[in-house]
Amino acid sequence: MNDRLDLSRLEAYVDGQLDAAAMSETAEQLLTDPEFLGRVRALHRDAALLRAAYQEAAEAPVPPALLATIDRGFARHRRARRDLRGYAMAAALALGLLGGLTGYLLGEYRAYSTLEATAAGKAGDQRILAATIEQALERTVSGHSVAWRNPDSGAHGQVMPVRTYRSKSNHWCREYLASNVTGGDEKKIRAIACRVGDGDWVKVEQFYHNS
Amino acid sequence: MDEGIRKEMVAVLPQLRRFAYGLTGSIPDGDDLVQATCERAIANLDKWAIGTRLDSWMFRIAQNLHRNGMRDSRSHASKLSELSRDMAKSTDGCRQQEEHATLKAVRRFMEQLPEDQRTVMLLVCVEGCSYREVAEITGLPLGTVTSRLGRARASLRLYLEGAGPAAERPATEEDPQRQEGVG
Repeated sequence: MNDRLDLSRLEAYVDGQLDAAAMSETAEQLLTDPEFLGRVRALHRDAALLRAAYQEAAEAPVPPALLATIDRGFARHRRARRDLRGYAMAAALALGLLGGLTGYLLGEYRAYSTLEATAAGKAGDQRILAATIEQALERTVSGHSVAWRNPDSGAHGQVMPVRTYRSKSNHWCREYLASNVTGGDEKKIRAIACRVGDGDWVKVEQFYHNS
Repeated sequence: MDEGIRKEMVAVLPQLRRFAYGLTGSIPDGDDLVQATCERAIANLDKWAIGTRLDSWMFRIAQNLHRNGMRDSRSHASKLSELSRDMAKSTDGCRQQEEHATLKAVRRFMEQLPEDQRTVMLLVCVEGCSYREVAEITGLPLGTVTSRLGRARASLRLYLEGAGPAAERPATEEDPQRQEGVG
């Protein structure tokens, strides 16, 4: 059935797996077909549920035994390759590494827990960012930016519409840049959203920028 | 050079633990898998092609180890009865409890999915891998990846639609057999 084909294209669209041409074609379809839009939203929702279902494991502190395994593994690997001078030195090295590793891990964990965020913190960031995007799209002239900040998590960033145009389907669309700075890590996206009937802005395309 | 790889490996741990949690269905089991994965990866560092992604390579090792040994020994029937019990639970309680129950139900759903569908679904929806990366990690052809993903998604959708909104449906309507038949 061709419904089946359409669905796999919608999935590829949601997963960011279409080429630019197919991407914008699908985006057009999305704007004109409420059923498509509903399905895309359901796909996004389900993926968000799945992420939330397993996020806990990414945020829980890494068990020391696991870190010790990595340490031991690398120490053995190094010995095998470089023939270290004596046990005392290897032990000292391992101890030093362990200290460094813990410090590094703490930093790493902090970065993750703010970047990936605790489920609540991230939800807060996303909520504020989404509201700022909505506000910027609705009221801000291209080239001007609106800042956002989540006082709870410290995450902050800016949203700047860069271009406004009418789509082939005669919807107003705006391209914008949005940034999300958490724990010294900056995530940037460039995206396009179009205004559908009820004044709702629907994100139709998104690209990640690695700064 | 080892130091750089070690750092990278530690940085991959949060995602790897999340993936392993999804594969095994519990955080402790997942951590056992992650531990085995790290040991295997370090022992085989020479086989890792520098310049390729360490996370994909480690996902592949985890996925293989899991498939080759650490299988869930519980019976299919017991998983399904837990599944329906969890859905029944989600019919009571306040909103937060309900959300909690929904997430738990999603995990139960994933546990009863066929192994290969679960792996693909986790890699794409949770870890954000591209279809091509998933094909490399699992060793499956691209078309198989997308068809498994489609099937897994369709059954999750049916499951969630059948399950909610929780408060409006009596628990007795949940029929695990029907959910199982999809997919």
